[in-house]
Amino acid sequence: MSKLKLKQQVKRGLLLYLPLMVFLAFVAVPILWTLSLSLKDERQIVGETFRLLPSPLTVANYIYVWTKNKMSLYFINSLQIGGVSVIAIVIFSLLNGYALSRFHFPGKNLFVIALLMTQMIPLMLNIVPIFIMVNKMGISDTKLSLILLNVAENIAFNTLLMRGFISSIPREIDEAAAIDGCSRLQVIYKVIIPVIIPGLVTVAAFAFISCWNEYLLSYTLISTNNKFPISVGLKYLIGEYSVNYCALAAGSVIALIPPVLLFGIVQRYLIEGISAGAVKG
Amino acid sequence: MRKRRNMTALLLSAVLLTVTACGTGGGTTETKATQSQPAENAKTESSQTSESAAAVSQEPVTLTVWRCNMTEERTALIEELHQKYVDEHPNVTIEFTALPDSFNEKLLIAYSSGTGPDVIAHHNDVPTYIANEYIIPLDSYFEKSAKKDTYLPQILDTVRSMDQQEGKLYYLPEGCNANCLWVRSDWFQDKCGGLPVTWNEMFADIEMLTDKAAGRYGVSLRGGSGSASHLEMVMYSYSGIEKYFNEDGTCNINDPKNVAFVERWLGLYGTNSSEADIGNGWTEMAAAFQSGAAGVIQHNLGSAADHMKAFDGDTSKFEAVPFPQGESGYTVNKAPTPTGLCISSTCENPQEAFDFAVWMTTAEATSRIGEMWGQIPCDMAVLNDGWIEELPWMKMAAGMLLNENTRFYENIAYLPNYNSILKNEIEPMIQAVMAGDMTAQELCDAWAKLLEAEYQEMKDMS
Repeated sequence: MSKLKLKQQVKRGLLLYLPLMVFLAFVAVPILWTLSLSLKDERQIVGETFRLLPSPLTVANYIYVWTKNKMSLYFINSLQIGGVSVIAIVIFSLLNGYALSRFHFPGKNLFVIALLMTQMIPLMLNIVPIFIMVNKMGISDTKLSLILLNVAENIAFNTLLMRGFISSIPREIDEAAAIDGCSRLQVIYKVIIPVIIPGLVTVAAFAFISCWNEYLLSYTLISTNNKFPISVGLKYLIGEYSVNYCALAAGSVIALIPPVLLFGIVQRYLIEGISAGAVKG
Repeated sequence: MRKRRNMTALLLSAVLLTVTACGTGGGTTETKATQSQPAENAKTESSQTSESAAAVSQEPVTLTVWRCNMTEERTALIEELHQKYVDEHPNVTIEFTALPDSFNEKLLIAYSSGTGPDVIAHHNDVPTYIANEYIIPLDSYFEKSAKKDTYLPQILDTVRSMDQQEGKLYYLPEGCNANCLWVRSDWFQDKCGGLPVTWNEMFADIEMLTDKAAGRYGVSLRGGSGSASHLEMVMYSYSGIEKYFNEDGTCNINDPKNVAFVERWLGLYGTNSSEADIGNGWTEMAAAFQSGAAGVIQHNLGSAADHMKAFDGDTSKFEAVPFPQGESGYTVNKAPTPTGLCISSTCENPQEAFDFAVWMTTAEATSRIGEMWGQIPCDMAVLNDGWIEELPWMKMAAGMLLNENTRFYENIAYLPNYNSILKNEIEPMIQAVMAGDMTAQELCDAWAKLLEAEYQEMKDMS
């Protein structure tokens, strides 16, 4: 191996791989520790002896949180709320983004600025009017209220993201499709969507994570225990004076499964989508 | 052109429909009877006492109950108790919401929109509820109650002190926690020949227990969340001062005896306690104690179950002890702030709600809640229950509460911003003292000033 090549490899190792490994350690160690905790019983974590690996290994914590702690119920609630919210967010963001990308209308720039400004207002400031509004609509203490508010909360950011993706497609393609007899909706369905699948996946992924992790609205608007999502359900494992660490770890692992699976499946599209959106945003 | 018109018409219709839907009133579930504005009901007892305490309505009644800091185990117990109550009172339906976190923000938001639960099982912040008119005074119901003499008198005094203006009873006490020191009694036997009686002996023993080479410290201090309230308890137990404010409105938290204690106690940091203690909350302290890294921690009886698990139920290794005697020659504790049940100002059935609250705060209900929560029931009749006698720390706490020689220093939780001052102002200063950036005198002077201002503001408003 030539000296130059060796030098390049050493440089690459020190400047790229080493920092990446350190970063990986920071990210992976807490997750691996959580996994390890979830497979231990409580006596292995209190007391004087420190154990890295579970011995004996037990799945009792998973059974406990899934059954006795009703995590199955909270998990399904989160899937329902997140799933419906994501579908609505993707549809509305696509249509909004198309309109902002393709149409010229008075107040368009002002509208974009308004969308950006909504991102700067913390949710906490609006929580009282939101609660009053939801009460007056008669949907307090329902999953529908969470779905509507998830959509409202996520639509601005994802609209702007979608605008960027759609803007990367030349208008001429739309025009060509229109000449061939496509209506506006057909252009979106048959031409735009197949091209911006990475963008759609990116929007869906971000929206799902946001909906899955949402705590404040869920805790405030819901007053029936069986309707809480998993973000609130995990809190039941933290008592006033004691924490069931092993069960909490098991619950956290369960809560991690959908986002991890989602990102595992869509990561290829996600990487394409994030970089495409960054260029034209 | 035609398509654009159609689209515009469709959009306008959608907007109009949305506006119409938003304009429709009420429509929430029939089982919730809490839609009325709170202000009209606030503090007006006359309209609520038209029935005598004995004449509880037999009409169907629904009560909404909120409890905070719940786990699934606690929820199961409360639901069981509610079912027992409903079996005895078939006309009552209870809608119970078990919240896993604190609920002050949720309550604030609910009352801002004119809704709220009927019964609130609170944890703290009653002065805020009183100031905001979330809850009603219970005196007129209490005076006629057959169970009024069953509650611990000193606990009722504390409850009444929450209303500094009129001393009214705003909730029925359910249970109180006792603050204590958890100690490694096996270490004390081994190194010190027994447990200390006075604070001076405690400081000497802490030094003897410290063995840095073996990773053992005499004490684990609380430098993080909750440090201020803990420090306040131990300093007053040392100084023996029983009132917080002097006659002229000045605060005595910076009394030389208190300052001397703070210097000594926080001076243990880094020498007889770990340097990690600067960020300790109760979980970190408990972990230090249970893992054999610390010989003494300050906490309440709520962590007993965790210690039992950690030490495999071997009570020869650990125990709960009251605060040592200070310069005064007796044990001084903070007047306990009990948890309890309040009745909301939006409740449409206050008599039924009061009857329910009495049932939940006395006899079997309060005993079982106390056993699970790790708190002392406020019903004197259950203080001799088996589980209290069997658990050494409960027996210690019950004995301490009933002992005539136990003194209590004034609990100033009635100051509306007391908790916020401790959390936002004092706790960072405690860390500064531990880090050597501030002196104990400076801390106590600043603390006194903040409390004096708050006290004066409260007096000016009354």
